Order: sequence, then structure tokens, then C-alpha cells
Amino acid sequence: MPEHPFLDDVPAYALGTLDAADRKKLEEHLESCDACSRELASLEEVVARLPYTLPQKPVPPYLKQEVMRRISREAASSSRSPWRYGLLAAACAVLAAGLGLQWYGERTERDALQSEVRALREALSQKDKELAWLKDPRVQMALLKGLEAAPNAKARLLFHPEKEHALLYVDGLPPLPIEKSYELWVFVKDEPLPSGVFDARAGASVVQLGKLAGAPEKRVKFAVSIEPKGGVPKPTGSIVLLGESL
Amino acid sequence: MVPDVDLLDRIVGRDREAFSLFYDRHAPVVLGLCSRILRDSRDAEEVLQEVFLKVWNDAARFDARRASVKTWLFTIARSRSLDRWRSRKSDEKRMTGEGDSFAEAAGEDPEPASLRKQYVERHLQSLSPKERELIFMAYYEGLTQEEIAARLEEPLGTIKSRVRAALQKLRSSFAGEAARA
Repeated sequence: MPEHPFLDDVPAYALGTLDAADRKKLEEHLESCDACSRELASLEEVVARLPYTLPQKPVPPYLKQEVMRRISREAASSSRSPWRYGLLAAACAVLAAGLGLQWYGERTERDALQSEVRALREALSQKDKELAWLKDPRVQMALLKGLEAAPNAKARLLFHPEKEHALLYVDGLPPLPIEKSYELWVFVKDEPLPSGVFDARAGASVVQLGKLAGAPEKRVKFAVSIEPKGGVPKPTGSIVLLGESL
Repeated sequence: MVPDVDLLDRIVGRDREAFSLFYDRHAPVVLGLCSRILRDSRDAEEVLQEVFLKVWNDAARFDARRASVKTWLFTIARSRSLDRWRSRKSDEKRMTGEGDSFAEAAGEDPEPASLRKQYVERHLQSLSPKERELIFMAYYEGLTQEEIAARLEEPLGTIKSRVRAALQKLRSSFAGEAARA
């Protein structure tokens, strides 16, 4: 048997395209072969430079704004429910340990697993919010109907007059160009206040109605308009949905 | 310039400024990588956000003994992009009730040569056209060596040798550049 029987598999391993069976064999060999480990480390550095051979695109500024907003939201959410994130972190650790994820080539599986855990965590959080709303008798509903720009669109908004979060279910809104967002507005004393942007493809979106508390109106009016990506403080685009609380 | 590893350490400590620097440094390359794999700017932008959220949440998991920061970051970006690409293909398959709806299902080049050419810069020029194609199929399409061999109707051993030769040529090209710098 040659000294380095799996040397031809090292490049595919570095590229992350070796199939599971060959990857396992190579990983076992890498544990005891410094030469192949060095070759792998060297080729991984080559692979890490491949993205630099692509044309680099200017990154739209709203993407960074959105990422920074999301990490702020996660940090706030984490500080509100430390026990939950502790449990989830422990679950991740147990899953990772249980699967014995080791060595470079298994990073892909580990990433996929973490991605799945994160998706489940987000789904769980979303469902918790939805259920909490449904149980509260003070929750109100508003129905929004499509205007000329989207006559077949409709939306339901579940909101609590004393809380910030609300749930928005939309149907029939056409997809927007990438530089645009749908933005929800709540009217307080006839003034439209921004209440969050949302993805028309999502089944339910959590939106913020922070300034709704204290609104004197018994029937609260809402609107959705098309705005620049990420939203704006005052409406500038055409209104596509309009309605009020029941 | 603050090393990437130091920025990640600070990100573990929830340093938003460090995260902002890290984002500014790497987002253009990550977006280029995601765009190349997904060929859809909206999907690429969504994956870019997922990648950097993962950096924010999982920076503590980075192990400098196992890989460089760039290898770690690009592995996440590539893996997420390929997952989304496969999911999209699967959705399209379900909706159309057909097999692969993309040109590669018929063994065709999924991308016109003229379009591919624009991605190839000086280092990739050191490769033969066949070697370049292998690198693109493996790295940007996530095909295994067996899948590449089947698509190109070449023996597996030939594919393995060519992939290895291609990466070795690239290594020499990158090393030559470093020596000249």
C-alpha cells in the first residue's frame, strides 16, 4: 500500500466536494499523516483565494444597515431570554458533540446542522410570538385591502394596543425590485408613523407598532406603501394596502 | 490593519465596531462568491446577511488551529449558497414536474462561455480550459468528483489528477505573486 493512498482526494477535500465515504477515509488518514495534513492546509489556502478571482461587487449600503439591525435585535432578544439561548446553545453543543464533528471536511455538515438549528430556533420564536398573541383577548385585528397598485392583495394585522409587536399576514402582494421594500404605516392622530418593513413572500411578518400605545383612535388606520429598501421615516411611495381595525 | 483573528475575538465579546470592520473588509468578496454560485442578486444578498449573522453568532466557534479566517468565512458562504441553490433547483423541479430545469441537466455548460470568461482573472489564466472548468464545477457548483466524471464522461482517476494539477498550478501562481510583491 502506498504511503499516501488518499493523496488524490486531498484537493477535492479542500474544495469541499469529496463524498462522505472518501472523506471519512481521508480524515482517518490525516490523523496520522503530517505530510497530507500540510498538503491539505496549503490547498485550503489556495481555495480560500478563489473568491478573490471573481469580480467584487459594490455592496449596497442597505445590506449593512439590515445586518447591523438584525444583530442588535438578536442581542436584545438574547438578553430578554437568556435561559432559552442557554438551552439552545447547550442543544447545539450536544448535537455537535453527539455527531462527533471533527476535522476540516465535516465543517460543511456542521454548518448545515447549525443552520438547521438556527432556522428551528427562529421558527420556534416566531411560533411562540404567534401563539402568545392568539391567547390574549385584547388582541385586535385590522383588515387591509389592496388599492389600485395591487387590487388583489389583502392583509390581516393582529395587534395589541399596549404592545410593540404585531403580526402581519399578507397575500397577493407582487414581489418588488431589490431596491424597494414594503413598509407598514400606522396612523396616529392622522399622522403616518413607520411600523417596519416586511418581506411580501413571508407568510407572517413581525412588525413594530411601538408608537401605537396611547393612540386615541378607537379604530386604528393602517397602510402599506412601496418605499426604498429598508424603509423611510415618512411615506414617499404609492400606497398599495389600506385598512383599519375592526 | 487589525488582523481578522483579532476582530473575531472582539466579535465574540459583542463588539459591534469590530463586526462592522469585519463586514466592510469581507462583504464585497462574500457577495461576489454568493452571486457567482446563485446567479441571483436578491438570493445572494439574503445569503450574505445570513453569513454575517452567523459570524456574529458563531465567532466563538472559529478555531484558528483548523483553518484561516478566510477559509472559515468562505466555507460558510459557499455552503449556504450551494444549499440555497440546491433548494431552489428542487423547488423548480417540483413546480415544473420535470427533471432538472437547468441546462446542466442535459450536460450543457450552465453558463455561456462569454459570461464565464469575465470571471476569469489572471490566476485562472494559468489553468487550461479543462482545468478551469473542473475548478468551477467543483467549487462553484459543488459537484463531487464522481459527478464531474459522469458529466464529462471521463474516468474518475483522470478527474482527480486534473483537479490536483489545477490547484497546484494555482498555488504556484499565488506563490509567484507573493514573491513578486
